[in-house]
Amino acid sequence: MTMVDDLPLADPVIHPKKAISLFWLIPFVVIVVGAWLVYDTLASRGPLITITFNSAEGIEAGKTRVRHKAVDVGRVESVWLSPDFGQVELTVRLAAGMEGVLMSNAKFWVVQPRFSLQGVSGLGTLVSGTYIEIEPGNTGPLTDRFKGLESPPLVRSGTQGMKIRLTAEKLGGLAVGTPVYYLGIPAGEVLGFDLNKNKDGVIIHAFIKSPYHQLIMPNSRFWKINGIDLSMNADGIRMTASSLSTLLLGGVAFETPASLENLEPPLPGNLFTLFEDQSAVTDSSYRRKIPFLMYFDGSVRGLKSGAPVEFRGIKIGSVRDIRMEFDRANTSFRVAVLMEIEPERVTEVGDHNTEESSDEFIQTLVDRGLRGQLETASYLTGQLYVNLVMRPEMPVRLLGTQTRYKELPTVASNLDEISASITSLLRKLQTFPSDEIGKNLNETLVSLKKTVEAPVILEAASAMRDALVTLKSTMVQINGKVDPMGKDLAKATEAATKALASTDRLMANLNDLMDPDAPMNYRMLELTRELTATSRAIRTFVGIMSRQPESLLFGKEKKEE
Amino acid sequence: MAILDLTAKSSGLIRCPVCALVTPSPENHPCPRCATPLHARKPSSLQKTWALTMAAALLYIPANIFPIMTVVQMGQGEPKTILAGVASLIETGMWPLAMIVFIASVVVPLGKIVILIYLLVSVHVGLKTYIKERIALYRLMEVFGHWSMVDIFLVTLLTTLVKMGALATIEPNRGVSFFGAVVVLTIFAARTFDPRLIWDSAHDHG
Repeated sequence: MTMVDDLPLADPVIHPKKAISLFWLIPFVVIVVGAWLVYDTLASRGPLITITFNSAEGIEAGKTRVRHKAVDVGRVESVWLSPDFGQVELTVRLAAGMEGVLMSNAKFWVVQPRFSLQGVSGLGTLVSGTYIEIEPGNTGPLTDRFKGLESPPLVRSGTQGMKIRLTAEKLGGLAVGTPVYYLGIPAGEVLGFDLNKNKDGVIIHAFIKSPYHQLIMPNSRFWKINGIDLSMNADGIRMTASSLSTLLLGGVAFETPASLENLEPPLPGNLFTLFEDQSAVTDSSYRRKIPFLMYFDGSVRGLKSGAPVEFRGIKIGSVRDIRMEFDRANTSFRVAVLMEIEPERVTEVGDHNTEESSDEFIQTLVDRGLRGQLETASYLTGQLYVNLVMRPEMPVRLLGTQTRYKELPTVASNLDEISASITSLLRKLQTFPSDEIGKNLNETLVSLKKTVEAPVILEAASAMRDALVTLKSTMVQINGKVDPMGKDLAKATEAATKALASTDRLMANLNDLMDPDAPMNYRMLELTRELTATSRAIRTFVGIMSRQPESLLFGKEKKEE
Repeated sequence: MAILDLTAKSSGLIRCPVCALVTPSPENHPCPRCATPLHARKPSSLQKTWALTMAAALLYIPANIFPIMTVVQMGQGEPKTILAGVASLIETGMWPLAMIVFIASVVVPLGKIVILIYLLVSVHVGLKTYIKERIALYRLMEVFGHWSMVDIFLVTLLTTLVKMGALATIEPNRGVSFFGAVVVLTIFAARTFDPRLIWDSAHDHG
């Protein structure tokens, strides 16, 4: 101890003891860092959304990612069943910044390997595992509940093109993914379909890719391409077959007819009519249609809706509807046929009075004898068509029923007319009073016999005989007077014979003169030859004169060849 | 007891922590041999240890919440936290490995923090019993504390070794930094803690 005390010591420097150690900075920094981490984590947490799917196949809570264009934008946090156990509810935590795309039209679907007629997709998920693809929404209110698609949408939001809607009577062979062709080039796809508002037709949604969407104009026409089209109508049997892929998938085709109008491209979602086939398109190009009603008494077996209405063998319309009507007033059945005439099929020539309505015009035609008649189009198929004929001699027969359609008078068909006349003939024959006629004839014959045998007739016969005798004696007298006249005639004949003989000689002389060996004939031949030679020489001369008029003075030039 | 009660501090002696010279020196005077400032006890030991322990305890939370590494095998793999990694090891039936990882990554760091807090609290309240046991605990903590770096070694080694594209790839995640910080902070905390305080407090309050 003393040793230590003796040591020379420096003056102690006394630092006041620090109340708080600097080491407390470490937990402070940790807290600051921790707070920042909490903030960062919470801030980078995006919205929590719920997606419902029919099945959670391949989806794992905490693992399955949500991706957009191969970028992870979220993760499935939990997979559970919906309250009614009918569906699967996925809770998905999206990345920050995804709030803006959660519009009601955002789409979610599970990407899995898919093999279909249209191709193979999603093969990458065989290795990387299933994921959920999101297509950001762009319209509609923001929401946090979505219904997942069971299959990927055919058209991604980024794809250039146009969505269109097609109305059709029935879906036919169309399905999701059915191609839409333009001149045989796949130009789009059918996206889906649903019923229209009245539930009596189908609305097909389709997408036309760029650049083909520019070809769609308000006057574009769409029709179905069926693999094999076999139809039998009044024109006979028609069969069309297309390519194998169309055979399997069917298809829709469109065309835009050239138009003089300056057409604006339609807005997306524009509505078009989808026709059953291409010929239906042609029919529909006649926009103006005048409906007419006709009543037929006979059978209309073989007449179908769509059967042609012809005038002088040219189709001018078609049958729309056929109905059986019962008239209680006079207990009769009749068949009402509604047809549409397309006046645009007929080219008008000359000035036409636009003041005149089509009704008045048709009335004029009816007055001039326009009638409807059923005709057999094909004896093979028994199909009927409506033939419009001009038969002013047939009376106008109208029922005048209260309909909104104008009625056209009808006449029975040719076959009906023939059978009707034969029937009436037979009926007349049946009522022919042959028995009575026979009886009357018999009576007549009896009375005739009586008449012949009457004495007056006998007297008349004897008187007739006397008259004949007198006639004979008269004829004998006439015969005697004819004889001298015959002698004069003989003399005249002799003179004529002489004249004929001299004529004969003259003819012989002439014959000698005209004989081929006759000298005169030879001379004539010689003369003709001379004339021919002369005329040839003149022609040559004229030719030389025309080519070389100077040769007249300087003589003929020698040809230099 | 008399021998046990006799300490260097009560005798006015300070042992130089560098050259081990025991001198009767006042507080904060330089060592006469090596000029190291001498302190009877580590200055502000409790405060520093508390600060470091608190920091380690706080960092232990993100170290467990955040994934420490991503193992991508055959294109499939997710970032995994320590506990998830242990769970997946158990799932695949690798019990021994799971035990090692669990002890090194969970038991040891957590144990260190708990032991440190226990020691600190016991010093504050002047606990007089279990002095030897507490010293034993402190030594145990120091010995095994180094082993909690096993996880960090594992991640760094695997990250550099396993780079085979989609076939197999291992990536470190942010959790590993926090975990490393926990380990380092607990080591410092163990160093700043002066075990002599254990018996000091027992005497002072006694």
